Amino acid sequence: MKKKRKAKAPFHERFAEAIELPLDTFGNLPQIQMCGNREVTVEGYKCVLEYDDNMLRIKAKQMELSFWGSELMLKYLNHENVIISGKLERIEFTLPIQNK
Amino acid sequence: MKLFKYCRGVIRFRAYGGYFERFLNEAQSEGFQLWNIQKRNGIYYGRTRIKNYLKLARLARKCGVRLRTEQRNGLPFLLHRYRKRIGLVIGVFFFLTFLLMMQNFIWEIEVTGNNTLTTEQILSVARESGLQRGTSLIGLNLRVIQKDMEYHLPGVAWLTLNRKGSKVVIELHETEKKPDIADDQTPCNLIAKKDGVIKYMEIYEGEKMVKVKDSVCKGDLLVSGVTEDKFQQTRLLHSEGKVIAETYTEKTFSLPLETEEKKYTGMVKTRKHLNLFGFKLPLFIAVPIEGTYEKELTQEPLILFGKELPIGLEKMEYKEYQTIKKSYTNEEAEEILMKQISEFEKKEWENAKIISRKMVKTENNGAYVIKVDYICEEDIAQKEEIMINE
Repeated sequence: MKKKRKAKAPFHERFAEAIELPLDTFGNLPQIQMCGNREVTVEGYKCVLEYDDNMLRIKAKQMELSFWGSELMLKYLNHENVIISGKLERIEFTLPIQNK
Repeated sequence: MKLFKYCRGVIRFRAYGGYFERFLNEAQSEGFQLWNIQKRNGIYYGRTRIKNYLKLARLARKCGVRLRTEQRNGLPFLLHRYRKRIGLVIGVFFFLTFLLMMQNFIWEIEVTGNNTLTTEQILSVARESGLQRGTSLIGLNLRVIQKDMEYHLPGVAWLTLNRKGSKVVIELHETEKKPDIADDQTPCNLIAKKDGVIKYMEIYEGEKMVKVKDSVCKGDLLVSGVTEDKFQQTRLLHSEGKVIAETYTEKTFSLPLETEEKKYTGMVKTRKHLNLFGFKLPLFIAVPIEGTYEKELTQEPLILFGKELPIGLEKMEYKEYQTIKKSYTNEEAEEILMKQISEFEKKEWENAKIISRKMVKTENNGAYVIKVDYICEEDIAQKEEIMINE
């Protein structure tokens, strides 16, 4: 039986960690900027998966983000960034299952 | 940013049914801009640019989303609404041409740097040189006007005309007056300025040519500036001195007993002109005015934001008057003449002594005449430069 290897972080992440570079150097993770619970800016967004007035699920780099709250509004959209405003209550990160 | 969006036109839309997320993502990948997307009561609301709206609608049909316009906003819609109103376009056009035309006139003239010359004086010279309110700027050579004004204005050291838009600033500097320098160098003689008998002399410089009790005529040499010393050397001096002589003066004062005097009847007729950049439009019917009138002109320029505009009213007031004959009695005439006489004496013999005055009062040709004979002691010395011809 093959020994199940523990999923390692990718090489560049390990490298970055080794020489103590900030994590956002390679830009393969979404950057999320929040302004209290009123407004969120997500850089590295890919598409909208689900949109309701109290739940918004978007796909970003390497993960999915779910925002819960009320009066959610997509204030601005372009191919990379999205600005969401409203009264946010909860944020959830969902990592897609790797190595199927 | 908002103004920018307004200029390009914004459509607020409503969408329902179908797969809205898919619609959103495909719109994104096509590069259509969407913003302010909101969901209320199961209906999505959003905004987009008009440019994208038609393509967006096609995309929505593909995704099964029904798209409805909620509100159109922005300049393109406004222009579309008013496209048939030619008057507006013409109005804007006329306004712009009016603005452009008005830039070609002088609206204001400012004068700075004058101390003794009045602004009105300078402006009137400027008017004669061809610079006034309402003058067209086209073909106007300020340099030439400047030269002309400098020539015609006395006592100006320098003058420049600066144009700031449609305003001309006349900047000038006045010459400073030369101080009076007492001249005690130029050789001169003293001559008599009046006939008389010399009473007393006080000579500071020069050679006496007359003696006390001599009678001299006007123009006679009293003190000579050409002297000879004991070595027979000729010297030229600046003669100075006082020569007091008894002089005789005859003076007549007269006053007509009957004079005419203007008396205003109180009748005032006003005629107004509309002044447009120097063009005068009469605002009255030109009926000749009868009787004797005196004209008086008043300007009433239009003032906007504290600035006088070259547009305004010009009022010409015609005041009617009648000439009334007024006659003096002999006593009144004498009183007036005596006043004149004492004024004359003060002016004429400020530093002299009047020894006697004889008055002869007569009435002649409807006038009251006083003849006065004066005998007084006064300084008759007058300097006369010695002209040297070489």
